[in-house]
Amino acid sequence: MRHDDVIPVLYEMAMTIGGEISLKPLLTRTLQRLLYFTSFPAGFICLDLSPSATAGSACLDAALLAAIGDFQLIKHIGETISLPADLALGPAAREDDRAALFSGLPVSPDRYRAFLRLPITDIGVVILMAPIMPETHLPLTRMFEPIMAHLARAVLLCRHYDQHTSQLIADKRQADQRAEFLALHDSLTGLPNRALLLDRIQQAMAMATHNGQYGALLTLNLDHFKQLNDIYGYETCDKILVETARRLEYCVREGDTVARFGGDEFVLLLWPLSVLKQEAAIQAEAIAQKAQQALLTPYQCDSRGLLATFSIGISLFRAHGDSLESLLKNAETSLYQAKTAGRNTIRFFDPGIQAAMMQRLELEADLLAAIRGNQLELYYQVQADDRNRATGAEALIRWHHPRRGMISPAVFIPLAEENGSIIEMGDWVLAEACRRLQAWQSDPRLGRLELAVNVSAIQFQQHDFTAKVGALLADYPSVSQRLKLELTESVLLNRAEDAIDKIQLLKNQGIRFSLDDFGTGYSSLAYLKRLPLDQLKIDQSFVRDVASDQSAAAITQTIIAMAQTLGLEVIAEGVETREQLALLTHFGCRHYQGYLLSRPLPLGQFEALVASGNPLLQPIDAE
Amino acid sequence: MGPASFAYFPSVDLAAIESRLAEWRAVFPEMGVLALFPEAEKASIPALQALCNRCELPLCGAMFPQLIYGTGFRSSGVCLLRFDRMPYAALFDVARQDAIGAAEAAETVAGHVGRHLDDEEPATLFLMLDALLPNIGSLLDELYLRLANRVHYAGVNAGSETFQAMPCLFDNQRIIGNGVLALLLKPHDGAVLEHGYRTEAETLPATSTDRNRIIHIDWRPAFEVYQELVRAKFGVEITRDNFYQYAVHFPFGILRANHTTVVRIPVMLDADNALYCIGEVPPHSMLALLDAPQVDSPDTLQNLHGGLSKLSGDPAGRELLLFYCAGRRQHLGAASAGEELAIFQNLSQASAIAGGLALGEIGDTTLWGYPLFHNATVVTAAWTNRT
Repeated sequence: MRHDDVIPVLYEMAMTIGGEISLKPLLTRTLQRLLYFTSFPAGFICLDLSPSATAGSACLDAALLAAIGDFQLIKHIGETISLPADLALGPAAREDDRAALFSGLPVSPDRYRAFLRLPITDIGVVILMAPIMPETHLPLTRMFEPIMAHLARAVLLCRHYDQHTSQLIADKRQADQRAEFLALHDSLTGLPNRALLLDRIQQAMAMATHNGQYGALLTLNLDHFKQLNDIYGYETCDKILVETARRLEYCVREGDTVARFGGDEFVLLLWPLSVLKQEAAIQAEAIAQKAQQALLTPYQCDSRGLLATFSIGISLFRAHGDSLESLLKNAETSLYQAKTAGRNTIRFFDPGIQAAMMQRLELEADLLAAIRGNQLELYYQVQADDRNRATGAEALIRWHHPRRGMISPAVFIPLAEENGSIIEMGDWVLAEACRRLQAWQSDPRLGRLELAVNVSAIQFQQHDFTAKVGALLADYPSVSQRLKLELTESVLLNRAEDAIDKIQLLKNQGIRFSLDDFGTGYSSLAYLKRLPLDQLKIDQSFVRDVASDQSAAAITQTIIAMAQTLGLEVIAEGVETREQLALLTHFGCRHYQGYLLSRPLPLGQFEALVASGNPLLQPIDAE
Repeated sequence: MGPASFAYFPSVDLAAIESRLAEWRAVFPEMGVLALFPEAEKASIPALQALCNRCELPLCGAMFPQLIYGTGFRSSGVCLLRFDRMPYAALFDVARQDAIGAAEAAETVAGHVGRHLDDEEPATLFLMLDALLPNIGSLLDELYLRLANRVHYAGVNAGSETFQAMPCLFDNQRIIGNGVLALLLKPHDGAVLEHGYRTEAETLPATSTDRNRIIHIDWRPAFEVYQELVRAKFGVEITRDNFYQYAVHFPFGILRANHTTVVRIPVMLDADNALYCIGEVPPHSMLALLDAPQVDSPDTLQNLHGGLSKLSGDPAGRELLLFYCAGRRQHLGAASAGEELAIFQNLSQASAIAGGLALGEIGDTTLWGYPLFHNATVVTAAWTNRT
């Protein structure tokens, strides 16, 4: 053997193998260079040789990972092929007249007679094939031994590298998919987001142009979401949103889209609906009702059942004449219609609502200015006992709008609750009430009156509420015995213990508490029993019907009896007729207020009323 | 028996050419033409394209430093070789001149060629390439990965002996450089290639190469090492000025395990003292400075004749393609080269021989062997299979 003949070949082979880092190019390049140097026209490399599954077979199963020069064999790269053991196993060999060994291989038929076998240690084999054995005086079977050992190590390293690389690629693909998903989906609920929904709406509108079918956008929004967030916290509300998403998905048809637009707003794209508008509206409403029904089931959060209601606006569309922008605007408007219709309601879009909505926005801005600009005023509605003696009054807020005139509290209180100005407003009312009680103190008639002030749940649940009241009482030390705070049952929705503590703390300073609108809310007897209240106020809806509706009469009677059992005073509001008053008195109600006695009056008129007397009202000093 | 397939026109006489084409067309209505031009006549290529377009005749061809017709080298005129029926022939641009470009070009060529193969009929993929493509070896490797043994591989490099870049491949519409003309000859049994260079050699590693550029040998600037080797072995002082004149006599050999050598003739020097060859020099190749490169002409020509007979049967009375390496002619001298042509004519008893002075050759010295890019060889093939 001449070193000058062998060394150059081995040197280049070693450099070729050392230059590759991935398995496929490693094997291909190695095979290419072996063919180049030896003049064999074709060859292949198999790894992972194992005994064939066929019993008694003289063959091995092997992974064909590289093949060059034989077009038939190339087609099987990447597959497991069956190799005759006599060809694949054994030490390096160079043999001629072995055509039979190739007969079972997927190679060009009747072509090969000679081969060079180079084992890659114990992990695989290189087979070079030729029709006629290429001439050589070099010891091919021995000279490639170190190269094959080198190749075996390179195979292991490349496999490791490929595994690592494919893991990196898989990780990146996963990250890309996640990023792609998040670009089009809401991360909290996994629902399509605004961008994806808009795309689907556009697709639906494009299709609608051709086939004339209607589609609908259902806009859903959780009633009082902001308050729920304040009361229950974000974590609980997130759970509600996720559960809402699942329930909505269950309600829609295959092909419809449920999307989350952000916050508590969900949008359902219903497509396709009927080509007839009326039918399409019925279909959309049916799905909206199904959704509303599904959402009425209490949400199980931290072993508590929470009730949430949704307002749903429906806007139908058909491509002709509808721009995407106007469609979304219509959907929003329909939701507002639902909200203003009393929440937990379904409403279709009506263009007439647009102007009203604009007014509402204006009003919201005006309200903030009104609170700070002394446009608010307290009215007083007298409260009396069953002997027609004035015992107090309920302070009721009124807004004199400089342009619009008197604005109803039914309009601006919900606005204030939504935009948060209810707290500032409530603070003003409390301070004004204390100031009034202080002013009345020197008057023999007025100085005996109790003044009831409504406190919203949001205001009451402010962590500094008791501190604020305490500060007021420090400013007006003699008024606490005549101040009565009216709460609604919603203060008990969350943190009932906290509410009880606050009530107790303020009661200790002499303040009395009344539970407003009793009978319309959750009316949890368990809590009622634990609340340190002084008075229950029967809601006017029962009082209104007490003389005409036996159920209302029965409920009223029950409330009064229950209050008596609990040792609570009862007051009925909204008393308008003598008949109502007679019945209420008969049932045991000792206190009342309503138009029968007086409407809410501005301060001056109220003071005059108390001084001069209503025919029904006995002068206080008459006793 | 029909008219001969080869015609040599001593000058590009379009009237005579048109007349000959008309004669051929009368017998072979589906015919096509392979036209071989010497560099001196390159200006006439557009005129031939126009003529063929007017006659609605398919045309392809290439430009070489000189033509071979019969037993002589010709630097004027044009050789027309008739396909009785035009085979698949197409020009491909090689946009990127690196390994990736080679893979991309091979993918395209193999894709098109593959659609014209039925695997029942023997076929030869005859490639004519721009000699200045630096990635021809990689292109061959990539083609072989894709087409494997579906075809025989043969081919030559076209271009100018001055190694100036110029368009040298054409069809009816285009004349391009940096590309390849692929001809799929069917039925056809391939070509034979021989150089007969003796390989008593001392090897040195090409420690740094870039496609067809040898930058370092033995970790030193390639030209410095080359100068020292030639000076030490042959007492010849090679300088920048006499480089091409001498280097052709002292080529490198890349050794193979079957005692054959792939010859690489250095043809250019650059400012960094790197040597440019025709054809790629694989990274880490062990190079031999071919020791006293005496060419064994009789042996070469015998082998060539014998190989051709084995491939396609006795060549006597047949029309043969013959391409002769320009570097070989420079090394042996014009007279010896002409003598080799005459000997081959005598041995083969061919009815006609046509081809060109090539700037690199493709094939293998064994049947169905791995296709390689060579220098300094003689390539021959039967024009058509015996019917």
